Amino acid sequence: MNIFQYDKTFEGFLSLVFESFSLKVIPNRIEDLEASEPYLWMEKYRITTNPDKSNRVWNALKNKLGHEASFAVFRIHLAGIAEMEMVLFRYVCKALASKQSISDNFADPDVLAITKFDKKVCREAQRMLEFVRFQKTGDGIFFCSMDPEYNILPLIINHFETRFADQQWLLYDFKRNYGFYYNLEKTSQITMQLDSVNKHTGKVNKDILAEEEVLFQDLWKQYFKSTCIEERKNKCLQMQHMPKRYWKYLTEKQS
Amino acid sequence: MRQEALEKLKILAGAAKYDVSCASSGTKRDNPGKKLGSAHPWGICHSFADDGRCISLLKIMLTNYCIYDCAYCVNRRSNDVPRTAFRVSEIVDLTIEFYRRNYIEGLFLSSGVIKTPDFTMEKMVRVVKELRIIHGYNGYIHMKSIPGASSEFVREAGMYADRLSVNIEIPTEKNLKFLAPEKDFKAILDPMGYIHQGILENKEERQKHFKIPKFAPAGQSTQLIVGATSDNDQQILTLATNLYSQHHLKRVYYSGFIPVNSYDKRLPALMEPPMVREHRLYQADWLYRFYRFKVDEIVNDSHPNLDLEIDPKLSYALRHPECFPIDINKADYEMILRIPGVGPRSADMILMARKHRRLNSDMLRKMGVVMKRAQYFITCGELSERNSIQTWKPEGLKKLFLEQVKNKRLADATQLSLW
Ligand code: SF4
Repeated sequence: MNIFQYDKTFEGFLSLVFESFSLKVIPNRIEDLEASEPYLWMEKYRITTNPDKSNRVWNALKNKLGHEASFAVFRIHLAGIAEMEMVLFRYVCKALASKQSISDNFADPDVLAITKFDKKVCREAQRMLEFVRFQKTGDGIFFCSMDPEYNILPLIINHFETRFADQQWLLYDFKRNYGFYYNLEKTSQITMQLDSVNKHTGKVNKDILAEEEVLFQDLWKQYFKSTCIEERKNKCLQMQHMPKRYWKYLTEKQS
Repeated sequence: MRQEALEKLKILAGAAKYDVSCASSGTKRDNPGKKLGSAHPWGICHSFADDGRCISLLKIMLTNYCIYDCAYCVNRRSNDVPRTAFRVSEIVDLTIEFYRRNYIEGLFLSSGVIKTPDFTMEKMVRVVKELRIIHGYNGYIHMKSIPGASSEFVREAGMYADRLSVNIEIPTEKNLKFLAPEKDFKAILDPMGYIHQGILENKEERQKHFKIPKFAPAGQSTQLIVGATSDNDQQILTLATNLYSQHHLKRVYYSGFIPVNSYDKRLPALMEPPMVREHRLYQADWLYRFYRFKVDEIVNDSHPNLDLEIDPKLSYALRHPECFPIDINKADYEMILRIPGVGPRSADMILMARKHRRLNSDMLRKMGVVMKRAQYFITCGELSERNSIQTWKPEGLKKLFLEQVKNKRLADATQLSLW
């Protein structure tokens, strides 16, 4: 049994693929450098992240898969789900070994698994575009905290930069404890204490909200109620499109 | 001020909600000037109301005062309901503040008719113009065009709005005049024509000068009320598909009639809105737009109404057993799309995957084909003609499918009661 350990960065992952090819050793398990004690009968490989090697793998991958599918590899790695690492590793190896692109060979179980998982990640990112609710603070920053199932924040920043170019905003993933702050010029990654935010509802304490904020939240709640057609009530359908786990952050769903 | 704002919003959102369209798709706009807003070609839903419908736009009326008396509408002048009107600046503020908080993709503005159609249009145009020009707002705007509006205002609206719509509501002119005596098809089709013309001319101009902004880039749509009159599905779908092909409408919406004015004896007494029929019409509409069906393959003189028990695609397959089973590994795209249980996405996947190897039913299942359905209409690897519609016969299959649906409902119901 072989364990490959690496630093969890995407470059690290690509370096790991490189090492596996050059050592001709295939990992049975992939884990964090700081992971638990290895078992005695396991061979442990500590992979050093190497920009040169990772670049070579990345270029080869882009060549084989094209832009869309190679970006999916990045996206899936970014999502940060440990169980997907071995599948992704096998997928990348198959992609590199094959003459034609494997990304549409859905009869291959790894290709299908990757395609399906990628869909889930994109869906979660999409849902954040839908369900982010900014609260305006007294100093004019539009704030939203969230806990997406996958690590998708970097994937959606672009959308917010384009759309809300003339307002300061801060998106925070408190599950992974980091966020992005846009100051009207550029966006930077930040880590901060969220003392004035209720972790369970994402609500910002009233005393630091902008004066008019509560009014607009109430207007939005009113709109949400008034736009519903009573004769067509269908909570099941609502739940299907807007699963309960997002409700806690939705202004319109808070009493 | 606070109470007044809430009250107005309550009345004017409540009055606007019967317009079913909430799409925010069809435009792509980045935000090069670094102001507020962008638009996505596929649109974004931001919430879902308790009726399960998507909330993408702030859908409100400028006013619910109306000089007309359409039988099917809550806002008709003979109804005794609270009436109010927004000021232009109020709508502008609401739109921008909601937008900044990521509640919405944009504004959907409609209105009752005050004084004259043009008088109303002029006010509505002022809202969208102010949003775009004074506030540099780049988000989505859908504006209703009032029946009977003149080309001047329709043209101006199209310069600022992404989508324009004129609602036909009642699918045949005879019935429209019966229920809405102040309206006729001309008053509706004329503005539609102006929009269409505007789009065509704009396309030409843009070929010469790329810088000219687009006219109603998300096109136009309309709505048909279903079940308020005796018009059948063939009449409805023929009208809809004509609108698609002749006026190049982006969408036709179908809205199951909600008996808001049950005192009016010209209207049928319905216990509840005809939701299933509405759903079947949407499915038929999809078959026309995305599955390459012709309208007379879906409804025709001998089959003027959609089957309420089964979806129109399955219904087609059962009426045409001679076309099936279809060989998954050989058939062309059009035929694969006609297999019940196969959607455009799995059809695409089948076409790609079969380049790599022969497909069997297990692979199909994994690609998202609903085999419970599809198995009777295909052959592939181990699935032979013996299990197909040829052996089962259409009647046998219909019975089987209805049974499956019934069992599923039972199972769902038990599951719910166990909760
Ligand atoms: S014109 Fe429009 S708002 Fe007025 S009654 Fe007719 S449908 Fe209702």
